[in-house]
Amino acid sequence: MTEVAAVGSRSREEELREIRVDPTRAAMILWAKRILLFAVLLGIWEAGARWGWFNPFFSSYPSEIFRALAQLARDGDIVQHVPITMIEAIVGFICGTVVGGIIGFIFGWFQRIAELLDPFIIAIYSLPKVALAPLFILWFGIGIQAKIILTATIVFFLVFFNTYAGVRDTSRELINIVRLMGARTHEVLWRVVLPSALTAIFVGLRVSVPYALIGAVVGEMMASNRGVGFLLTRATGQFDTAGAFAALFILIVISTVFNTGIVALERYLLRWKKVQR
Amino acid sequence: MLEFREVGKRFYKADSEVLALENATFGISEGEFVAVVGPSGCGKSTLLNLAAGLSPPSYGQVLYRGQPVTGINTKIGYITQRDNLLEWATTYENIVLALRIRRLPKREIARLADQFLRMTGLTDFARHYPAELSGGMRKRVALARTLIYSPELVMMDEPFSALDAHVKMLMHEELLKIWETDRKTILFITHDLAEAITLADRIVVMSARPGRVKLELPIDLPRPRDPFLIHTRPEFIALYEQLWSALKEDIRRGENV
Repeated sequence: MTEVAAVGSRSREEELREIRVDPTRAAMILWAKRILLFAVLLGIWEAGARWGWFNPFFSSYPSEIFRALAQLARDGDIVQHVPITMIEAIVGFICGTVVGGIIGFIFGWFQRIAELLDPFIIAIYSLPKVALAPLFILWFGIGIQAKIILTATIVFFLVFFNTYAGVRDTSRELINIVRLMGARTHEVLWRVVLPSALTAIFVGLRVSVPYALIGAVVGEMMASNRGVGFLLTRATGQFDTAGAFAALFILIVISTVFNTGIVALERYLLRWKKVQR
Repeated sequence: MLEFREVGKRFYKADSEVLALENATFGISEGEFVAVVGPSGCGKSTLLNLAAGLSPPSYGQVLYRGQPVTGINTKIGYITQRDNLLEWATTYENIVLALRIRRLPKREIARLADQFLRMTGLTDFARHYPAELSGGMRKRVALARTLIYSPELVMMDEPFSALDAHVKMLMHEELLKIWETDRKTILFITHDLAEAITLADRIVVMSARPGRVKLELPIDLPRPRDPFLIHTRPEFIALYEQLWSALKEDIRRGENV
């Protein structure tokens, strides 16, 4: 029945397969393969360390990393440090997004401002933002403010540029059509420019997620006694490679959680882009 | 209803001046379907922007109901070559956009939407997003969202030029059907002579840049017209030849701009 409805209504190329495949089953098989691959790699790592193919002092190995993780959980380190890093990343991410989005929007709409400030923005943009970390620590201390501000600064630029480009790329014709319908500026912005720019804004948000963690972790590694970045430097300071890998594992988990959240939000807000039948 | 009086429009590109339109003079009266044809780059779209008040003429006057056009002319509906739908909004939301902007009561919006969805055969696709629609359906959405707020004058800038020949004829049929029931005033820009003859009451032929009115030709083919068969009528062929001979030399000249 979908075949009939599809005639003429869909010119895009559909995914055609020669064999009939149950999509849920296909997804399960794919995941099974991934898990298997992961298990094999872990197995090689474990076996290699135990049988002396390489020095476990530098590389550690999965079971020891797992033990280190369990130790971190038992000592209350996870409960104490993970929320710190998450708060820094999330608050910094939100602040950077809001400010970057608003300013990007203003610059995109008022081209004159963008024209005027362009060289300054590019100059600041080309600065590696983590180089600001020492200064922020000097200004705001070793508490979480410095890390939030560092994260926000990094995220700001990513969101700013994408929002700016998105607003500028809005179809002039469409804006004119809607103006002729009688829309005022705020309606044009709300009904046309914002939704049209949203795709680009989300590109900015997606790339910002790992960068938000960079801000938080780099800040913690430089000067802190809390957070996952601190756990990482503490472990390496004690030549505890298992502990360092455990900290990295925690960071991967945090980053994945953030990313999943953003993707879910994007799926919802940009649901018109890829519509499942 | 709409009148161009000795209208000219200049553009500046770096340090050179481009004269897009020169001494263009013609008018459209209420209920008339006028097509403007001309070689590419002859300022056809500039005419629409002037009438819509999106940009002022460099000289001359653009009059709408006797008054010079100053600022956005919201009495006008504009259909562009690209359909310019709101990609993030469903067919229904696209169609009712102008009504929402004009703050019509909800029940009135629903009633009109229903009527226009039915008229354009889109009722079953009301909840679909533009990405799910075919080119012809997207055009019908663009048509419906403009006609629904009954602008006094509908301007169409090569609206069907991206469609394939058969879908184009279907759209002509549909447009004529709608137009013959409400006789809106339409200013239709195209480079397709057959399309212009099929649809219009009168054709304005523009010269190559700088665009000037070269010929005005009334099309007195009887209505209702059948877009699938009209091509074969001898009158049609005669008009086509007449238009073509007026355009021929300019098309070569237009190539060089």
